[in-house]
Amino acid sequence: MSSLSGMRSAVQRVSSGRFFSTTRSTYARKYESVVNRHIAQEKVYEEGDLKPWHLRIPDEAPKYPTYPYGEARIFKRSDRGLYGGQEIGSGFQVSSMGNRTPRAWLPNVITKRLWSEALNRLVRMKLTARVLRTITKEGGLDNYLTKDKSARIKELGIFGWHLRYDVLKAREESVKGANYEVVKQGEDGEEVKVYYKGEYKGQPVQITVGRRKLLSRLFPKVQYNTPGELRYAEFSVKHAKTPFDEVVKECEKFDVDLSDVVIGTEVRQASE
Amino acid sequence: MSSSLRNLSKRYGTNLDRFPFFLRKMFDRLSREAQLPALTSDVPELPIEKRFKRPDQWKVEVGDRVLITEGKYKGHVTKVLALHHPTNRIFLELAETKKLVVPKQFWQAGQSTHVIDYPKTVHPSNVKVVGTIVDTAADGTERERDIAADQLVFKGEYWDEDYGKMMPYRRVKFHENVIIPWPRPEPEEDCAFSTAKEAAEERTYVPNCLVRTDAPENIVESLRDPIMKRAYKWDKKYITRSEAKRLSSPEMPISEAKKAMFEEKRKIREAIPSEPSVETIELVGKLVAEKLNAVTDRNFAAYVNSVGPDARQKKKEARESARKVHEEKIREAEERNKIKNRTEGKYKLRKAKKKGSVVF
Repeated sequence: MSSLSGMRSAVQRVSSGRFFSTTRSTYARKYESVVNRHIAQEKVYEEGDLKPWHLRIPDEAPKYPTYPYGEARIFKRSDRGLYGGQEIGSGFQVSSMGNRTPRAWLPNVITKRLWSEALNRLVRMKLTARVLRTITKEGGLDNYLTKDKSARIKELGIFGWHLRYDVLKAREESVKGANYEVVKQGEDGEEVKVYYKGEYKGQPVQITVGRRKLLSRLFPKVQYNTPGELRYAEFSVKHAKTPFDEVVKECEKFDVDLSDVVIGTEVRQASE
Repeated sequence: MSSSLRNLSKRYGTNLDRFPFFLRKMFDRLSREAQLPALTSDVPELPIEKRFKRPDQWKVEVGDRVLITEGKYKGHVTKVLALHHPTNRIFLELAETKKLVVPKQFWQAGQSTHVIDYPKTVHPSNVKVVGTIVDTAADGTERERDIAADQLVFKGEYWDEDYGKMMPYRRVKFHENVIIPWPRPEPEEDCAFSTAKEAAEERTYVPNCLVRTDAPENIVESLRDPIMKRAYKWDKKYITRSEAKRLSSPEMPISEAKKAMFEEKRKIREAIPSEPSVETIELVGKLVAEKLNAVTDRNFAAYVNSVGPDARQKKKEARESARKVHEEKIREAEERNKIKNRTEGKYKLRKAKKKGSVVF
C-alpha cells in the first residue's frame, strides 16, 4: 500500500514536470537568447559563379568557421569569454513592505587562466563561475570545448567556438605528427631536422630543409629555363601539391646545388 | 529656393499629392473660392484613384433608361445623358436644376439672360436600370414589360464591337438569366485628322527571330555613358578563385567522439546481414516446398512451376544490369558536363578579352 502511494506520488511528480522520458525536460536550460539569433544558411560561392553586385568580398579569408548562432544581440561581452549562454538578468528588489523596485544583475564573471592540453599553453579568459564548475566537471578546458552536444554548442559563444576550432586543429596536427625526423650529426651530436631521405644524383642523401625552401631553391632554375615571364606565385601554385620526391627529381633535372642542405649517408653512419 | 520647395515643385506646377490631407483640402477650398460659381460643381471632385474606370463600377452607360429612386423626380423613368467622371455622378434628362449665373463668354446660342437653370448630377446608386422583357401569355400573344433591376451582378464578358472593348454581362441579381443589354453608343464621326481604322491596325513590323533581336549589336553600349566610372550593376561578373577563397570559411574539424560514433555506426551497418543465412533459406524453402507440394489446383501449380527457383537469381541480375546502365548514364553526364564547362569557360574568357563587360 505504501509502495503504491509512493508510486502515485512519483507519477504525479513526473506529470507536473515532464510527461514521459521521451519529452524534453522543462527544467533544462533553453538558451533562448542564443537560439533566437537566426543565422541564414550561408551561400557557398565557387569560382566562376555569377557575382551579385551587392556582394562584399573581404580582404582576407576568415580564420575561423562561422558560429552557427552568430553574434550576441544583447550583452555583447558574452562574445568575448565563456559565459555559458548567461546574460544580464532582471527582476525586482522587494522591500519588507512588498514594494517592488526594478533591478538587474550580472552573471558571476571571473578572469582566469586555464591550461589547454592541446594548445600546450595557458589561455587567459573571462568566464562565469558556472562555466568554471562545468569545466572542472568535464575534466579540463579542452574536454569542455570539444563536447558535441547541441547545448554545449549553444553555450560556447563566439569566443568558445574559436577556441574549440584551435583545440581541434591542434589535436589534428598532433595526430599527424611532424614531417621531419631529428637526427644527431657530427661528433658533438648536434641535432638536425631531416625532412627527406632518398637519392640525389645517384647518392643516398638526407635533406635538412622542407619542401617550401627546396622549391625556393628550384625556382630560379625553372624560371631561367622557362620562356616568358614566370612569377613565383604561379610557380608555387603549380607545385602546391607536388610530393617531396618529385620536387627532388626536378631539382636533379635542373641540377640545383643542394650541397649545404644535404647530409651524406657517411655522416649518418658516423652519428649512428 | 530651398531644397524642400524645389522637391515639391514639378515642372508645370505643384504636385498636390505630396501634401498631407488637410493641406490638400485647404488648397482645394482656396481653388474653389477663386473659381466662378458657374464653373464649380456642387459635389467635390474625387481623387483619381477613387474615380470609376470600369462599366461594372458605373452600372449605367450613356443612353440607358433608368428609374429615379430619390429626390423630387422619384418614380420617373428617364434617360442617362452623360457620365461626369470627376465626381462619379451622372446627368439625367429629367433632373433637378439649380440657378446659375453664367458669364457672357460662356453663353449658349439663343441665351438672353445671365441666369440659367443648370441640371444637377445624380449618383448612380440613386437610379435603377430599366430593361424590357417579353412575356408570352397562355394564348400565345407576346407582351413587352419594363422591369427595373433592384440590384445588378456582372458575370462573364463579351467583345462589344460598338464600344470597342470587352463588356461584362449586366444581369439582374437573383435572376441572372435576365440580361439587361448595354445601350448602343452613338457612333463617333471621323474628323479630318482621324486615322482610318485599317491604317491603324496594319502590321508594319514583323520580327525575324524570337531569340535574337533586330536591334544593332552595340545599341545598348551606345546608349550608356561612355565615361561613367562606376561599373553598371547589371554587368555580369564572375567570382574569381581568390574571391572564392576569401568568401569561404574553414570547416570545424570533427571531434574524436564523433569520429568514433561514425566508426561504430559503420560497423553496425556492416554487421547487419544483407542476405538471409543458409539455414534461414533452407528452413523457409522446406516450409514452402511442403506447402507447394500439397497444391491441387492445376492452374496454380502451373504458375508455381513458371516462377521456378531461379526467379530470385534473375531478379538480381536484372537489378545489377539496371545499376550498370544507371552508372554509365552518370558517367556520360559527367563527361558532358566537363566538356560544357570547358567550352563555357573558354567562351567567357574570350568574351571578356574581346569586349570587356557586355549585357545580355
